[in-house]
Amino acid sequence: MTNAQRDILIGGGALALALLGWFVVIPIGVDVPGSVKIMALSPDFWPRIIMGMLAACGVIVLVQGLAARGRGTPAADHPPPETSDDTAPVESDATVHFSTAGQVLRIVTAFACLFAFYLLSPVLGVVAGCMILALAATRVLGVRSWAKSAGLAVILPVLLYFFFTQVAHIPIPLGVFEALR
Amino acid sequence: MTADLIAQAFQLFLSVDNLLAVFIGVLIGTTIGAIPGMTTPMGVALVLPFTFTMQPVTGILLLLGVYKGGLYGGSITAILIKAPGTPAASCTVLDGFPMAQKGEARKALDMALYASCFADFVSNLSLILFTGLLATFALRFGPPEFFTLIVFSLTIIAGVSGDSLAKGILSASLGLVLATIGLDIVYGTNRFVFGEVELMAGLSFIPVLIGLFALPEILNQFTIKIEQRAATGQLGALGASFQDFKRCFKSILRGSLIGVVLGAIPGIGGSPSAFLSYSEAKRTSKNPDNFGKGEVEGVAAAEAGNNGVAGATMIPLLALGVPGDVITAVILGAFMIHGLRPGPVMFEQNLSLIYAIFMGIMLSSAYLFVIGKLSIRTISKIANIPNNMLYPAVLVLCIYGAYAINTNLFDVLVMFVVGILGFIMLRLDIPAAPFLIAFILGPLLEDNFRQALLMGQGDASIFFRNEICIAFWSLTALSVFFMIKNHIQTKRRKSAAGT
Repeated sequence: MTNAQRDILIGGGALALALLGWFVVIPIGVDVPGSVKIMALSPDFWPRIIMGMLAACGVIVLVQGLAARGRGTPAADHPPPETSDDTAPVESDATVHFSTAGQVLRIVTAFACLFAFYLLSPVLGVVAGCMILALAATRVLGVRSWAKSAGLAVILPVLLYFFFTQVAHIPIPLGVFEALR
Repeated sequence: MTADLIAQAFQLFLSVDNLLAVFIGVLIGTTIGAIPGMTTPMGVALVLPFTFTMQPVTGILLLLGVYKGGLYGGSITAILIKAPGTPAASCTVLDGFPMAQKGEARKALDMALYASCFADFVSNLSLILFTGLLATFALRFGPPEFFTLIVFSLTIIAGVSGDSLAKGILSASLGLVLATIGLDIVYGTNRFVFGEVELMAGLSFIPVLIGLFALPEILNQFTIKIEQRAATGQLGALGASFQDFKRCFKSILRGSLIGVVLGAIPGIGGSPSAFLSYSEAKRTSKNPDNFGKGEVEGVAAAEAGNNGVAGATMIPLLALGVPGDVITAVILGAFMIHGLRPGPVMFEQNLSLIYAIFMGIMLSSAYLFVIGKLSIRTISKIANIPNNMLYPAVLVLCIYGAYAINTNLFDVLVMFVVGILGFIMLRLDIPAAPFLIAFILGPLLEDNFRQALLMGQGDASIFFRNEICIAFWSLTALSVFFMIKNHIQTKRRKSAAGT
């Protein structure tokens, strides 16, 4: 994706989000009492100011993107995003990118794992959930040794469990393993 | 009379218990600060019950040690794994993490420590010397003054927006939107709650913070094939030299003073101070383009601003009995448990106790240096762990941290959702720092805006009611002027370089 295309995407997306917020989300999501006398004190005043700001920025970025596409030059004076934002990682020679399809597949799988963790945690508990998640993550990230993967996946969640429950006195749910407590 | 008081204070302070209490406090604070999700207020609150049976000075010094250690400790993981241990350390991420990736983690950690210790020392000195003066100034702050101060603080967004100011403000708008979730402060009605009880109190800082900074980096690893350990994960052999310290000294001193002034104003805290100090350092630097890419001066400025508030937040507490933030509110509780009430009366009746606390506070700066040096060698070993082992471990740490804040799985979900948003922002080159600044300052801005309007019965002239408001508006106008000027100059410079 070129810089111009990216700016068009960001600008268009922000504008669409702002319009959605102004016309749909604020009327549904913000309860405005009938007793409001001063407009600036209304609960929806501040969210509308923010949506206005978002829309204005969206338009600016969109126009920048369209202008850059017209000129056939980059929209902004910055490098392409493949490596990151202002605090971006500087990749070493040791890393290579997967193909776009491969990246999408892996990242969608990662998102799915996170939500699966959230949905299964009430049943499995945070400790067992973290064990499974850590094991999956180490394998996907290329740790070849099962011993290392399993070691990290078991030891760290258990250590953290004891730290939070015994030292910080913060209860950590164990789900179906509650009997082990 | 004064000599007698100082002698009494020495008598009160010079005991093994007190010397140990400050040391243990700083150690606990540094460790807690270095764990993402464990906040300094949480650490102080956890230690508080242990102080009940101690002498008042010992107990209060233990809590102050935790406070000071926590402020520094947050920078360790901010630099090493981009997961700030405290909200105030999130500014340190901007240059600290890129330095770690360039193999200069030790240099960044050293500079963070030197800047922290120096700023802490300056803050302690100011606590001792200027308590009365600054407390009187802080007392004059009402909602209109706070509002103008925060508007001025928000101009720092320009400093962390990278090359596109529009994208920076866009990012800040997203942060402001998230900050509006919860109950309305004036009418108590729902805003973006959609029937979800968990959203009524708004989104917690820590899950948003972890989600925005740590999780996108972890998710990004899933798009990279790691063949071997990345060289950027090395701690680095070289630490910060005296020359580095000398080069950054101006920013460290400025950051310390910013921290002192903002710390003395109740309710401001370390985050705005760190960001303001960073922004000023960038604005006045000869190499502003290096900021955000691993500039050691950026780390120094952020940490000086962050730690400069440590002693100063005690000014309104000791002089007036007004807690400046959550931590000093807990410490106020500790005073009261021991039958003491900070304020003018305590200055008349327990002056020797206050002097003894001052001595302990000064000692804590020295302990911070020693413990900081040791922690760089021990805690920072996590930088040598291969990325494909480190990131899954950080993921687990983030989950525990997000959960532990309110013992609520909903916060873990918030962290995941913000993490995915942060990842999309990362890939689209939208800066994350303005989002976080706006998320932290947004509620303060809105609350003070509406409270001021309530005070003025809808009349906007209340925002210009005195010289403090006018001074902050003038500073904001100046800041915007220089921002636009710099932007135009940079554009011209770049187009000249291109032709």
